[in-house]
Amino acid sequence: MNKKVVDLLTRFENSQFIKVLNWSMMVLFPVALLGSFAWILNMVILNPNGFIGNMININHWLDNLWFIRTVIGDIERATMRLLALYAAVISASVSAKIYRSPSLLAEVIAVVSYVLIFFHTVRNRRMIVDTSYYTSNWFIIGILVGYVTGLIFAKLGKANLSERSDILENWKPFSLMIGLAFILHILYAIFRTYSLDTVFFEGATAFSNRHSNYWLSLIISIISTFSLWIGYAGTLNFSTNIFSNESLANLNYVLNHKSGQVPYPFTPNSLNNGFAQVGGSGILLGLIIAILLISTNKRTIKVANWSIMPVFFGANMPLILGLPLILNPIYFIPFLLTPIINLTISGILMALKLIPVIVYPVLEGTPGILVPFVGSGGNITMLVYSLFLLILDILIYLPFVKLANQVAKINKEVTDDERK
Amino acid sequence: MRENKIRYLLIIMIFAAIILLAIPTGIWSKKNVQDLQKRHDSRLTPIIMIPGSSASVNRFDALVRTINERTQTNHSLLKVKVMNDGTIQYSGAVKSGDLEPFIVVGFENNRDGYNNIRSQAKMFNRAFRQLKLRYDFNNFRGIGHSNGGLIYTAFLENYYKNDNVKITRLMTIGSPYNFAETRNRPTQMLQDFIKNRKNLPENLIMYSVAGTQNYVADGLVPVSSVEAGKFIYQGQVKHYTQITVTGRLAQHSALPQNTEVLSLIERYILK
Repeated sequence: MNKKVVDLLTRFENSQFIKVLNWSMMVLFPVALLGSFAWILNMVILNPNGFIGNMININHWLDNLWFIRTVIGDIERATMRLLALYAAVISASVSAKIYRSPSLLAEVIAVVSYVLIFFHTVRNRRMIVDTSYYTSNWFIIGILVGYVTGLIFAKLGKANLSERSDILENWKPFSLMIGLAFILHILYAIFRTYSLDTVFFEGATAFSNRHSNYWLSLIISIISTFSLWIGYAGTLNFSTNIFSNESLANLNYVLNHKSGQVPYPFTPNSLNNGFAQVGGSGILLGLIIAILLISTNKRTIKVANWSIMPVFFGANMPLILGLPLILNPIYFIPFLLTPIINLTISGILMALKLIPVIVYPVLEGTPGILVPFVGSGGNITMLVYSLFLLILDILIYLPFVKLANQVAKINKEVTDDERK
Repeated sequence: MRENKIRYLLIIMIFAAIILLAIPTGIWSKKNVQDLQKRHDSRLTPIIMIPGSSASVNRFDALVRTINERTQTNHSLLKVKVMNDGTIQYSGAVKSGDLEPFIVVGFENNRDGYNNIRSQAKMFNRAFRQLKLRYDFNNFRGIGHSNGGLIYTAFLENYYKNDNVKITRLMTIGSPYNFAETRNRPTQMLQDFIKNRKNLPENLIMYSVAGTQNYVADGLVPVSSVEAGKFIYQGQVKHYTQITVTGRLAQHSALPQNTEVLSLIERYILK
């Protein structure tokens, strides 16, 4: 492998922000793992409409299902749905440490700032806080807020004070950070009051508010994998009514005619969910198998082992944080490329009518690899075809896992040198 | 070396899991397709009726008999009673070949009040799901007398969403959307109905029938309370039509026997 590339990657990984980001992600890996297992239990196994729950008729023999689901779902709500807050705390703590000025106050201020920026009550007589900005979708924003807090405390604060004076001496970074957060809060409040957010989303919707075609589905897939790579984990809200209506029209067509060309073969609901989501965005099931095959990094292998089950059911956050994958240049190319390749091959085969269109609804939490099989009404060809795509994706990931091995080796040498 | 073995074992296990899960999944999807097809092909359109408070599942016996006499048809009548413990009792039957059976859903708890209406809507949902599985229809029409119309509204707003079985027409007869209150004093129920109106199906054709003995009420329910239905349905469903019936048998409890109401049902709810 080109030595220059490896050098460049090593330097990138040693920049301060990336260090903070990577460290924070690794710390949050167990939290995300716990949340993902709770999600599998709640949505896949105990859910009467879930992949396993439906097939074993869970609601026919398990009493108090709703109570059990609620308490288990709470584990997911306490972990994944508040992950951005935890990211702010950890990233403040880590960046303060990297700048050698650890401060307990910085950690608290980071989370206070983050909550303050996005805090708003839903316009209602009751007090309901909109918590959608605190979920794992906004992970990277939490990291940024924590990083800025840590930076401000490192530049303006006094380090290594005893805990008692810490609070009194560090009034400068304290007020600066809270002031900054408050300004952002006001800006955001103005943004909302004049419903600019709806204007923005209506604009985005108008863009996708037309009947789908192959290229639109491809663009949507690329945008959502890219945004996941930069840390915005929530797929953008492209699933407008139009697309679900298209799926419905497809289904009705098949039920009416039994054969022939459905009206919207390339609707994102079937194309993207069927071929670009094997183990979540970026075909992470392929990455896990590639890692198990050739990775030499002990930590990476351990993370992969723990993430197999969540990724199998499409919960990819543990692997994304554990590797880590966000803003990781090594995996940038295959992460974006594998969905594109899958969609291209599938699109061509569909246009040539060699594979059927996915028209039937699938159960919640159906493993991505089985979606084409279920969605085509149990067509064995589709199962074989999905396995073929998976093997292709593994092959695409292999050279990049090898590259990761090399970078890890050099990183290790660098840290060993520093120790000497 | 041992570590490598575990890794390869894990990979084999992933592929084994895919193949093993594919077997029940395949069986499930074949059955799923069959079910979808069966429901899609069904030509059955039941008329599901909910009686008001204090009424039993026999509430509409006279209505169905009269309609059958007047229209020279023979719609069958199935009565479904939901007990408080959730069990469901059936009496009567849907005759084979009858594409427009009447189905009455009644409740053991048939008391008045918003809390009871909420629990009745939940019970109705339970019965509705069972009926769906038993008779495989893909669309139905609704009639709700008095509180029955309120139960229908609560059901449509809270349980019906995303259902693949469509309600095409609904007629509520003397349904007090604001209980016995005047217009400027909205009850909690009316406020909730208005708050959740977005969940009402957009393709529904809705008729709200009011009866009057004088200029203000049908002897029990104020006309203004029936008319408050417009705040819930108007502008949200496809058509919302308000009809006021007067004259003989326009008293609240007699409305299901009123000849004008019967002809409205024949004209708007039956095919």
